[in-house]
Formats: sequence, C-alpha cells, structure tokens
Amino acid sequence: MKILMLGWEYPPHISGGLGTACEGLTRALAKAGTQIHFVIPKVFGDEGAFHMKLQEAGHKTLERLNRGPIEVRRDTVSTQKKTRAILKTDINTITTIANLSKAAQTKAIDETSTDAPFEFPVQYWEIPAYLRPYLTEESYETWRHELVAESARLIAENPDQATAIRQSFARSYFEIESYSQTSFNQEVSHFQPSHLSTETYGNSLLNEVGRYTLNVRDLAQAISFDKIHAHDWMTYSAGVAAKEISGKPLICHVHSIESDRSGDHGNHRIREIEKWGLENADRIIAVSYYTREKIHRDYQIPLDKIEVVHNGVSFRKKSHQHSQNHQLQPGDHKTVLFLGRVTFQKGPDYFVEAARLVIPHIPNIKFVMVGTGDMLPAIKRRVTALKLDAWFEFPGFLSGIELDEAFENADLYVMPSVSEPFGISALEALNFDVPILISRQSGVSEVLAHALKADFWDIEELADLMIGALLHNELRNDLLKMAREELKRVHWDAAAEKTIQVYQKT
Amino acid sequence: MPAVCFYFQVHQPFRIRRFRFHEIGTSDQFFDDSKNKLILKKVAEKCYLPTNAKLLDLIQRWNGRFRVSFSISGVALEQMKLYYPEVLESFQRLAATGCVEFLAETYYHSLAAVFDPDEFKTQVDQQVKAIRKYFGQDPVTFRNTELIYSDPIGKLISDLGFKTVLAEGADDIMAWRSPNWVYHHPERPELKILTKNYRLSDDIAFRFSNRGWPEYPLTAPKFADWVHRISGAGDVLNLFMDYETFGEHQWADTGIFDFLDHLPGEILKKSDWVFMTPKEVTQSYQSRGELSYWRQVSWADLERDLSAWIGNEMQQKALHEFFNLKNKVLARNNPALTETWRRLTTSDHFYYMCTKWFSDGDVHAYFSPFKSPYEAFVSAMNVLHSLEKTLEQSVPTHTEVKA
Repeated sequence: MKILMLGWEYPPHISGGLGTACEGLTRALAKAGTQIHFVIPKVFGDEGAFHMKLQEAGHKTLERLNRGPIEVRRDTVSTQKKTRAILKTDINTITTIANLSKAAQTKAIDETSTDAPFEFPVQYWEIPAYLRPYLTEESYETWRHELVAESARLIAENPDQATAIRQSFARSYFEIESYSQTSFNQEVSHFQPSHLSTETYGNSLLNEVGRYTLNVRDLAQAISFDKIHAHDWMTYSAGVAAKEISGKPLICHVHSIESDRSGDHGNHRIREIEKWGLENADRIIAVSYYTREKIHRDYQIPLDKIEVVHNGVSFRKKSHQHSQNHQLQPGDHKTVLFLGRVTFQKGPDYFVEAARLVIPHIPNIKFVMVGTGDMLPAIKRRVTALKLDAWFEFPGFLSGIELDEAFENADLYVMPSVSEPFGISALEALNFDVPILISRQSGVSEVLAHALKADFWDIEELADLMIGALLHNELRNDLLKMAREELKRVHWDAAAEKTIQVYQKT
Repeated sequence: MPAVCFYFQVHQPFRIRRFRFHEIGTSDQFFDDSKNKLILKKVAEKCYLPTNAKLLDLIQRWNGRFRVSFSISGVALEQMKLYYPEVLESFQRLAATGCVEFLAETYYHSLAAVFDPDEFKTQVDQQVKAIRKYFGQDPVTFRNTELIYSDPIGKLISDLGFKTVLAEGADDIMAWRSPNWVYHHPERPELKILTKNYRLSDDIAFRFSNRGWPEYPLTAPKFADWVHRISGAGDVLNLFMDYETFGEHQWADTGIFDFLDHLPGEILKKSDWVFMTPKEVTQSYQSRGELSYWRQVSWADLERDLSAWIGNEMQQKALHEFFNLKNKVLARNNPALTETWRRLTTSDHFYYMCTKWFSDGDVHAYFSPFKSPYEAFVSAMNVLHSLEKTLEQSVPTHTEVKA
C-alpha cells in the first residue's frame, strides 16, 4: 500500500512529540511493507529517514507568491509590511486554497505577479504567539515582547484601528501573562520603537500552512498513492486538497486538538481548520480514547468514525556520559521531576500546590521543573510567594545529555496534566527507570496500569502518592518492575498493525 | 460408600479506607465503615441470605442426608452482627440442623501462621471461642487462611489439638496421588489431610457461567455424572470454594441456585454416595498414606502459592512492619488498640497490594477496594505509621474501636 503521509516535523528537528511519533510510526509501517511518501515543510538533510521517501514542500509557491524568498522578512520594514499583507491568511484562505480549482489556483498565484496585494476575504491581525502548533522550547518572555512589539507596530501603522488591534492582542497577552488590560495598555504605550527589531517578528504559522497546502496539492497530482494520512491540524487542509485532487481517502491522525493545547480559549482559526479537516476526513485516528472523546465533544464528529491507535515507544539508548557542568547534582535528597511545557495544559500549578504539601514531611527534597512556557513566570512567582524557592529548581528547557541527566537524577516523575492526549515523556521517564505519577486525564494512563495515578485537581492525592513513593523504595521498585514488563507491549509495531487495519477499512 | 464433602468459605475483612499521609497522627479512623457495611449488605442479599435459605431447604428436603461445612472468619461474623444480624441468625439456623460443621481458622483471616506462630495460636483460640459462642460447636477441623498450608503449619495445627486439616490438592504436592482419598501429616499421623479436588471445585466456582468453556452449560445431572465416575477410585470428593460463588461470583441469573437445588438429588441418585462434613470423613475413612506439603501451598491462582500476598516488595515490607508492631501494641494492654492492630493483620489488606496480574484487570483488581495496588500499599503504610505514632506517645491513648 502506498501512503501519502503529511507531517509537520521530523526528528531531529522537532518541537514536540509529533515528530517523534511520526518517526516511530513510519518506521514500523515501513517494516510492515507500507510505502510512505512523507511530506514536511522543510527537509534539513540529517533526518536519516531511509525507510521512506521524505519530501520537502518546497519554496517554489511561496516564492511566486512573494516574489522573493522567505528571508525577505529580514529586510526593510516596508518589505515586511508588504509580505505580511500578501501572506495574511486564515481559515477562509486555507479552505479557499484547498477548494480552488487548479486553474483558479494558478490564476491566484499569477495575480501575485502584479504589484497588487493578494486579497483575502477576511482580514485579521497576526498574533505571533498563537501561531505555533506546539509551544515548546521558545522563551515566552521573548514571545511576550514580540506580542507587544507587534501590536505596537501595527498600531503605529494603522492608528485608526488601534482599539481593534489592542483588543485582538490583549486576549493572547492575558493567556501568556495573566496581566490586566491596563498593564497591557501601559506596556504597549511605553513601547519604544527602537525595540522594534526584525528578529522579533514572529513566524506566521498559517502562512506556512497555506503554502504547504498548495505544494501538497501540486504533489498529489504528480504522484500515485492509495491513501492520504495527515498528522495534526497543520496538515489537514493539505490532506483535504490532496483528497480532492486525487479522489483518494483521507485519514486524519489527531495527536492533540486545540483544546488540549490551549484550553477553552484556543485559537478560533485553528479550531475551525481542525473541525473542517476532521469533518472532511474519511476516517480519524486518535492517539487515545481520551482524545477520541474530546474530538467527539469539541467537534461533534461521530465516534464510529474515530479509531484509537495508541502511540508506541521507541527507546533511545541512555547516555552514560556526563556533561562537565550539569546543573542537577545528585545528592542525598530526593528529586521529583516535572518535565514539559510550563503551560496550563501540563498542570504545573497543581505540581507546585502538591509540592507544598509534601515539603513539610520530606524536607530533603528537590522539585525540579524542566521546561518553559507561558505559565513559568507565574509559577516562579507562586513558588516565591509560598517561600518555597529553596526546594525548587527551574533549569529551563533541557535537551541531549542534560535532559538525560534530569531523568537519571529523578526519584519520581510527576505529570499532573490537565489534558494530555498521550504523554510520551512519561514513558521516557520509565525508560530511565524513574517511576511515574500521572494524571488520570492522560492518554498514557490508558496503556499503563502500573503507574501512580491521580486526578490532576486532587492535590492531596498527588501529595500523598508522592510521599508514599519517596518514602518507600519498595513501592518504586515494584512499580518499575511491573511497568517495564508492561512497556514491552507498548511498541510501535502494534500501532502500525492497527494503522494498517485502518487503512484497509478506509 | 464415597462421600461428597462441601466446605464453603465466608469472609469479609474490615477494609481500611484511603488513608492519606497528612492524616497520620490526627485520625484513628482507619476502617471504611460505610464501605464495609455496604459490601456486607450487598453480599448478604446476593449470596448469604438466599444461599443459606436454599441450604436449609435442601437439608430439610433430604432429611439430613445433605450436609455441608463452613468456615466463617471472626471478622465476618463480627460484621454480620454489626451490620446485618439476620445473616448471622440464618447461619445459626443452619447450625441448629446438626448437618453443618463449622471449621476453625484464624479469627482475623490473617497470615499469622506464616509470620508469627504465637499470634496464630491466639487468633485461632479467639475463633474457636466465637464458633462456640455463635454456633455451639467445638471445632475439630481446621482450615487456614486461603488454604495456606505446609508441613510446619500442620504441626502448629496438630499442636492446637485439631484432628483434620483442609488443604489444596496442588499438582506438585499430589504428584501421582489422587485428591480423593484421606491422607495424613508425615510427622503427625493423627492429623488427617483432606485435599481439595480443584478441577471439580473450580468447575462450579469459576467455570460455571463461562460460555467459552466446552462443558457450558453445567447442569446438576452432568456434574453428578462426573462425581459418580469417582466411584471405586476414591473415598471422598472435596469440593471447597468461596461461599460467594453462589449469587455473587456466579450471579443468580446464571442458574447457579437451580444447579445447587438439583445437585444433592442428582448425587444421591446413586445410592452408595453420601454427603459428609470433614469431621465425618476422617471418622469414616482411613488415611491412605502420608502427604508432605514441602512448600507453602494456597488455593490461590495457578501458582497455588503465597505470591498473591507476599509476592512483591511492598507486600513483604508491609507484612513485616505490621507483624513487628505486635509487641509494642500488646505492651499497651489496651484491648481496643490490640483489636485494631489485629484487624490490620487480615490478609486482604496485603492481597490488595498484589501487582502480578493487575494489568489484566483480573480477580485481584476486581476484589480490591483500591484503585491500584500502589494506593492500597500507601494507605496501609499510612495507617501503620499512624498507629506507630500513637504508640510513641508516652501516655497511652485509648483508640476507640466501633463495636
């Protein structure tokens, strides 16, 4: 079977779990005899994905739209303005592009060869912070700055629309910092134009999505395949476009949905793309029953259209080298690890509140919060307000050997996620022989019985289980011993087998 | 003249509640009274009351030819008295027929035989007194918690004066022997051993309603036919099972009560077959040889060993710490405190910590009041530490036990 697979990232260039999952799944699918043509926005050349054809959705279309490479943004402000105007896009654009006939599409592109800006039916203001599919390693402090800078610039350029701009930016700003409207207004009005650097200009994800869609559509005409398999919302419009041009069935694979990433205040354009893509899919794969239920609830997709394929685990070798100056010194104290984006979705606030209940009983303890995110400043303020700084460490985003060491030095990994479609990092912790305490609101809790589990909001339960696990080595040993056995069953071959069944019935 | 020997186990633990760390030293409420009451009521209505009524009916119908035996743990008797006295009364009505033998065990259904022989003796004495008090019988037959038995445990039992012990007919113990004869302890020939025929017992207890089983549906005539085939190849068929088989493990709609209703008649159709209680079996039949239980055997799981209670590190730690607390507890000479501690020795608390099959959502998970074996362990250890804290106080506090 030939699969046109649409992805957004691939290891080693990843920002979240999506790339890792795509690697594990495609390797197992290829092993089972599936031919995969995998299209991502950019191929870096070091992916080493020899098991499939890896193709970049090239710059060609963008160049025709822009009449210049993407680096044009780094030029003058006036060029940037033009680029923004041209590339301003939204759900309507993407669906429009997807639905355009080839001729209309060519016409649209040809039109851009004149100096007239490419017109889109709906105008909106770009909000950089929201245009990332997964908010991982980026510094949110920088993002806040970007947000303010961008709104200040837009206000300067469009003084007559200042109020509208402020309104559309302020909400995102609250999400990031939970500041008041007043403080936002103050910050914007005090913003110095000299701060305005081209470097801070955020990447417009929706532009990328539109470009990707056009390229995949071109590609779908040129090659032959049996099914289309699209991973997460960024590729859904491309999937629909490919489906329309080829007449082949589309399978949308949901690794997370907007309400997982942003709660009830997600980006409405992303929600619309997601809904539209899922409605147009012939079948949907969800990474957990938890996600399946949410897809049904958020987008009213009938449950019988959604299959569950749990992720597998592909363990990398542990590094046994130690870097020269690692931040996390193993000591006689116990270490509890939080690792992930410090965003509402991951429940970092519940982690802090539970830690507060643990500390009086186990004073020799360290709570290490690895990662960054919009809630990090608020979390740090809370820890300081509780006078718990001495028990907390915030090493920021870690990767490579430093990340391995964070796992190796931990006695317990805690994932108090409010909403977690899967939660592969919990399995990674187990790979480092760290027992896990996970929220019941996570996909991974569906595949692992041998884990400590609590409802994320039940901080007393979280605290009690943390204390129990830290006081009793016996509990940790039993937990690990059983989880290791259980993990043997959670492999990508099983996921590939189920995926192939989905292909066959779609 | 071969006999069918029925023994039913009745037991309900005082389950501990989800006791959290921050409650240590602040609460003496270790047990989940409301859950215990609820479960006892539920099991009473689904199993104890209807099955007792059926047995009474059968005993009267067959005019004493149908006979059974029970072991009811002391903690179960206590909860019946506390929460549902009618249940206790219905057992007393059975006792009054003279066709029911009550066996001895540890009052707390504990693992004391394995961990503390002195404590074992105390708990057995307490159970014997309870049987005497409620049923007017002096038990002469012993069955240990979960049929846990070994040669050394046999000696303990013999030392206490019991004439008969019930044990699992595990394959490796029986080897070439049939479970359908009476055996005796290799060093104490006066102690007779009745071995469970686990195939026929489990046909009723586990497989009765299993539609995937080739013999499904199991009817009384079919089962009686299997029983009758033993004629000439054994003196006694030992059918040992949890009493909850009737109505609780096998729901009424599986036809289990109809099966029970017809079984005595079908078995007694062959006039050489009779029903006997364990005491009557050992009075009627000679031992066919010695039988050594060279390892600790239980009736649990395929392994027929103790791994469901002491199989993992948590269970071993918890058991040792609980039993190690004994001297400190007894030194207080406070009956309520001692009673609390003894209730905590009940084997079920440790069974809930069993991890071996947890992922399959099997029988261990089904019977546990906790969401996971880890929660069971954490709760039990928190209770233990709370009790320890009480014992550290220089002035003894009088822990109230609800009675």
